[in-house]
Amino acid sequence: MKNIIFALIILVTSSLFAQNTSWTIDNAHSKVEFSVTHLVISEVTGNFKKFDGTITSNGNDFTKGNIEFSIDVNSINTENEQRDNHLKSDDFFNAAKFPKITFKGTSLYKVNGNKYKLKGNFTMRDVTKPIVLDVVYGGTVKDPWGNERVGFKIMGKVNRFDYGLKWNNLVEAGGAVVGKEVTMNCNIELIKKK
Amino acid sequence: MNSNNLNQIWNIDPAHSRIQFSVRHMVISEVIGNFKVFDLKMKSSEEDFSESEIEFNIDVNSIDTGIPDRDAHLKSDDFFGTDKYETISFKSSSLKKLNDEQYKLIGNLTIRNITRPIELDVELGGIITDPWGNERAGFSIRGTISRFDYDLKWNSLIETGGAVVSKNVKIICDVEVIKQK
Repeated sequence: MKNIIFALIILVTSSLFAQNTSWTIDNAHSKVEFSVTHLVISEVTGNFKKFDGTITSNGNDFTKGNIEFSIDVNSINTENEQRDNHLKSDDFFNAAKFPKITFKGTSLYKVNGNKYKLKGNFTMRDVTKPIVLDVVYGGTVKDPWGNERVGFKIMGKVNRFDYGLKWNNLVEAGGAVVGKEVTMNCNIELIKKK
Repeated sequence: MNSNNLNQIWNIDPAHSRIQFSVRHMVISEVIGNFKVFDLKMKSSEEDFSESEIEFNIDVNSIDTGIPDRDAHLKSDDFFGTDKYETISFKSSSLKKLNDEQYKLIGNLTIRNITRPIELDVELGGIITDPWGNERAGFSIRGTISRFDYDLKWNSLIETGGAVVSKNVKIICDVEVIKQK
């Protein structure tokens, strides 16, 4: 009888501890990328080298947790210093005045299989708008050092004009030098905090 | 195919091109890297891109995955062996038009001096005249290779047997080429 009570206490306690499991982003195995159309005909890709997030779950159930991301705009990298500086200027991000891009999740729900939708509020410059992102769950593993890791792919599109990133030179035929739609493509690996 | 018809040369614009690759890390996520130094040349006919010849060379030492330790490991003999093998090269043998936008590119890829035939999917984004009067064409090039075929053999496994770094490598290239006048 004592053993049963003991076992029940353990069960209840461990399920309480399972709530609000915290995860840290493994930056070495994560990437925050974006791409736009250049001159109508090709895609130019860049990424942000510095980003962070607070992610909590209920055990391994992320639909019952909290997701918040923050991106350092000054860490933008398109492999071209001149272009990076142009992007940090007021023509685009105005990184001096608005150094962060943030996302605050409001809900994550399963669509089917390993596909989810992540809703939240996305802020660039001083504009906040609700967005819906597509999430693909990559799985959970134990790494060679005993840490539990989870992988996600997060994708979405925004219209940069909605957020005041207004620069818009056109070519002769009328097409944009830099497209207004920005595709975001993030690969994130998280490590469970012990 | 008459090579004499391929009179038009197109040169890559590196500022608007990327040569990227991705692998799966510990089964669960995708890790992306790119090569910063590369060259690509295309010879096409005056009319269109079908039957074009494409050659590209990549400086393997320009590999960048955002983490210096990892880049150093990739340059070591566990992977690329850049002490001995400094260049990845590709030479096309055919570019077949499938429809208005899609092409099949077949050619030989050489990594670590091992040459193997590969097939790549190419999509033409369009042709446009830029604000400086140059004609530009945009292409996306996608494919998958097994790195074991080229002797990039490092293969640690995790407890459950999955690979720390997948053997399959996705090739993700977006290139913009400028018509030589």
